[in-house]
Amino acid sequence: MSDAAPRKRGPFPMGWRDGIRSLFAGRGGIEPAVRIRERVQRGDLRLADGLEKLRRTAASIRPGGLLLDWGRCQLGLSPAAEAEWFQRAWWGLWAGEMFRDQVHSVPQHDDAMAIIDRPSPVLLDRFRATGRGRILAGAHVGPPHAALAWLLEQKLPLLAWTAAATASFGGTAAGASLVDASCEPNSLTLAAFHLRRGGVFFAAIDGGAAGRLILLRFLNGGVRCSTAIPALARRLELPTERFLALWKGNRITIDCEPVARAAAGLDEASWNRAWLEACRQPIDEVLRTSPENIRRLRFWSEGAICKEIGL
Amino acid sequence: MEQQSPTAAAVLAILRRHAAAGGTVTEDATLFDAGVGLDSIGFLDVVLGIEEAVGIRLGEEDLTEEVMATVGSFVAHVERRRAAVRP
Repeated sequence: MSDAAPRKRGPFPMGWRDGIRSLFAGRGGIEPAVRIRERVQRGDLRLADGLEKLRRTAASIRPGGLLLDWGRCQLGLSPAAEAEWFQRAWWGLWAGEMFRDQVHSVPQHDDAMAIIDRPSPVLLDRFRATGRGRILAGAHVGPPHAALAWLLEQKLPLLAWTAAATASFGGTAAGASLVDASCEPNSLTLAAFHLRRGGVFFAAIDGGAAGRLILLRFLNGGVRCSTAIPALARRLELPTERFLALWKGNRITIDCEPVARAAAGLDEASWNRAWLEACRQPIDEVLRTSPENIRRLRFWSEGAICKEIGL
Repeated sequence: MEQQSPTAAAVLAILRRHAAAGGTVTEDATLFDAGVGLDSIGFLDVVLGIEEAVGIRLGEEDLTEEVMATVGSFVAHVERRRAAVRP
């Protein structure tokens, strides 16, 4: 894997939502999930209840299609493990879509937030107490926008790199800055200014919107990760934490742990790779052990191994 | 840029150090894309380098579209900022 990985479009040129549909086309699984999703969207069913119904639907679907191919390729699933893995991964994809529907809906926002388990107050104390900027490193795993929604709810001095619109978080985003980092070449410098004022900066390591990209191994493939976040951490010498929201059963937990600082004395490329590797290892473990947290399949399949099946 | 001030010379040296391969540091060149060719990390390094070399602290107000239009406008702005903090 070379250090200068070129940017590349994913295999779902029609968009992620259509990509999900294409995963299940012809498998007989879309219709029941769509019905549950629509009931939750209308408010006829609470999200928590819809997610439980979705579990039962998942159990009735015969494993197959691109999702199963992906699991076999990326994880080397044994035949005995395929059925359970497929049910959990299928559930996670649909559950993520349903959570996203709700969290971006003003009337349904609280219904979505109610399934997030509140982390220890110690975590918030840690964010607020130091007076120093803090970098939170996310990734595209687990329910989409759940980590960001939780951060917005805390009313921290937050700058987040995301394609999500500020206005679409049920009115909780007041005072925060949500920035599409790909728009501005000075976005990293603006993040540095924000951190120097003691702010919190949240961005995904696999976002690829800013900085140079390097390819890291994930599962049996690889992911292009931005060096922008380690570049900030190195230059400003700030504490950084891995910050993820993950499915645990039918609920969402906040996973936040300090990222081990890379050894002093390394050159920049080695330091960045060591820092990203410290983030990668626990995320890789999540993807191996909790299939419901697999999210953007294309992001986890950029290595050469899966090209033969078009992922 | 004739008769460069020490501040201008310092800023230009920093820009040359972080310019992309094939990038040009001329008065009319843009800081990004086909000009100096800075990427986001390169621009951060330029800003932090200027702060250290020139002895000023930059912020959002220093990164307006007008200031960042060209190398010349950027250097001129840093010179004004430096002049403003001189005793």
